[in-house]
Amino acid sequence: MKKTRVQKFIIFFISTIFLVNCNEDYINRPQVSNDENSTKALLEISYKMTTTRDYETAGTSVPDSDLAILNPSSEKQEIKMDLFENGQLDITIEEVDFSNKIRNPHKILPDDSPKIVKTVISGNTIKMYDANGNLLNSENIPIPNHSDLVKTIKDIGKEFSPEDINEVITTMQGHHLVENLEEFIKNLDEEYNDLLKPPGSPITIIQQGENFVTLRMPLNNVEPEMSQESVLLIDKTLNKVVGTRIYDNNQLLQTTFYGYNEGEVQSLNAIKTVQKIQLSSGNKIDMVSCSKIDDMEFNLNL
Amino acid sequence: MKKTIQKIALSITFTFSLLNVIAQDRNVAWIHGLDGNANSWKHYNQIFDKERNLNSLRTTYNTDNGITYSTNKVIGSMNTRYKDNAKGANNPRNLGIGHSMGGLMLRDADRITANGTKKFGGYITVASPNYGAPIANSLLNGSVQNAAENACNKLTDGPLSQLIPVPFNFLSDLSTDVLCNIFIDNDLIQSFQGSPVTNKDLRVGSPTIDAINDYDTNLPRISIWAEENSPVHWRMLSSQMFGNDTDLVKIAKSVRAVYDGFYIYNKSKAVVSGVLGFFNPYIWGFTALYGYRATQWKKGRNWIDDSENIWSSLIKTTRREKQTYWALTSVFGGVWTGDNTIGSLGLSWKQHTRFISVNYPSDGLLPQYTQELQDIPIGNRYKVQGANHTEVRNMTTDGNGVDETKDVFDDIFDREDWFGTN
Repeated sequence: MKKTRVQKFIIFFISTIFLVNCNEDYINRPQVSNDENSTKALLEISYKMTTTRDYETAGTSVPDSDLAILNPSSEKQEIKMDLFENGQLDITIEEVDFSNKIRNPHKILPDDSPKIVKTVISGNTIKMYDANGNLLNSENIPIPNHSDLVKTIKDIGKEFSPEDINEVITTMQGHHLVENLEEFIKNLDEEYNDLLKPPGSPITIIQQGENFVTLRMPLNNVEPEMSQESVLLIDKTLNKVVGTRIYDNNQLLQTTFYGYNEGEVQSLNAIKTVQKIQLSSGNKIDMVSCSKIDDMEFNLNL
Repeated sequence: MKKTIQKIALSITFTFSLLNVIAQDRNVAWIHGLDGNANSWKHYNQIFDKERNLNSLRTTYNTDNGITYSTNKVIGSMNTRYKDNAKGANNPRNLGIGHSMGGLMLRDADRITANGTKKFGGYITVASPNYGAPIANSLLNGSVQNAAENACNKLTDGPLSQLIPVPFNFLSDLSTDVLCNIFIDNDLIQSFQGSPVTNKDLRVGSPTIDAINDYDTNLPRISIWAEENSPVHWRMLSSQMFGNDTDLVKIAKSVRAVYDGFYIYNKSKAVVSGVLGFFNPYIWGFTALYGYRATQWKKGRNWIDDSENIWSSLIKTTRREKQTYWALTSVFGGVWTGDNTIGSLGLSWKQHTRFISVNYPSDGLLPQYTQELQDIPIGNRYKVQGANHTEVRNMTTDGNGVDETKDVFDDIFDREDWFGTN
């Protein structure tokens, strides 16, 4: 029974990778604006994200020229994303003030020009608004059509029961679909790599102690032009991705950690990214970005 | 007949007395700076010639060969225009008004001329690098070039990771490389770079700057400094590129919104693929990819946020100060950092204290401390609020209906001392 389920995953995976690879053509397909798109979105996501950006400067002597780009900052944004059946992806971003916001004490006259507090991406258009809702600017941008992602999501609807899907979404946990992640990965290791050779690149699976496993995969599996490799860190007990890394020629570019709520609904609640950045002096320093995610809602209207 | 003669006599007397009231006994030379020409002071020259009946000189000087070379050109033009005598070019009532390097030329003219042959009895420096222009030092040591290259890298990382061709154009054809390149391609910087002799002269600590400041003068002097609103760099460059201090600010904000849009777009897709990964774990590969792209776009967005700090450090108007702030902090180390306690990231707000870079007032090119003459009375130091280095020469361009520079000149010309010009 499990084997059959794994085989279904393999077939589904191959088709998914193919579809997702094809979906990001940057040909500007005409897309209608959000206002005209009155149909209910297939996929709706909304969340509040509070992010602080800081640098690991402790113990390092930082010259003034470097210090200028190392000031801490923070922001809070309310984000809403809708994916429609026609492949259009709309995003609304609103800047929100909050009590712990970092306000660096610059001694210069304040900016008295209108501030963009709301950005709406709809179709191939981005619009910016001030606090009074006045349109400040509007531009065309190359946002791709996501009709193939729509097909992928609809295929998921055909493959799995609504109960399974809802359970996965609300708990952000794969127990219902993957009863034994270790065995699932082992089977993928054997069968998927055989299926992909040639021309695909193999996935390297390394057990990290008893509780964790890493999956190392070249990104050209999912995006042919990408030369980097990604590594996923999976907590086998939680059945969750708890970290990702990006390497370029075996050099670590970026580490991202994911945190989840504890308790019954274990939804994503935190993202931490650590990235080495080059300073003008030639020194390298870690930039640490922490995002706290609140009120995440994720709805599939299949 | 007698009445007619009396009328004529009265008329002549009245006319001459009127001429005495209207005509000023001083000549005023309006001196432009490194990036200027005879038109730089046209706006205020025309206003005050009409309102204060000044006898003005306004011409173009070659500023490519150092401060003293230009100074001699000013002296030469004064002698040519007013004649080299006590009632003309050497009249102690002559007033010099110099913008930027023009102010240094006035001070240098004071230094290199002997009593009795001085061309100005007093002068006003406007947004002048009296103690040197730190941007010249930053150009000479390569900091400006490094900053521009760093900026271009950060602004192109997002589009490159998204596989969008670079440079990509939107926002009034302003492409990614334009926004970073204007750091070194703007007229002022080009003027500095195009004239290496003057660039070396204008740097903090140059022999010419030191000689000017070592000279003790008894002439009445006033310094006017300009203080621009944030973001000072975009406003100054906007005044150069568009003739007002707002257009480039709007563009920079729009570019930031686009970078933020792509950042959120990729971050949200990382979340989507993170969830879809539970249907098919291989989709988690996209989580890493989209997360990486989000970070690349965010680098560009962060650069736009930080660009004022970066520019301020190049023009040396920052100070290192301790700041206490709240930041999200994670207790989680993860297996990759040797901590085996996997689970929640445990993000919480924590207070941190460290040194940060604080921006201090400038006109977008020169800090307050070099614009203001330090050895003159406080009452001889004036400020034009909301003005950048370029627009201080015509404050009607900012569109707020107030000509702040004219107001300051009026205050100076209304004084009851040597500068009074009614």
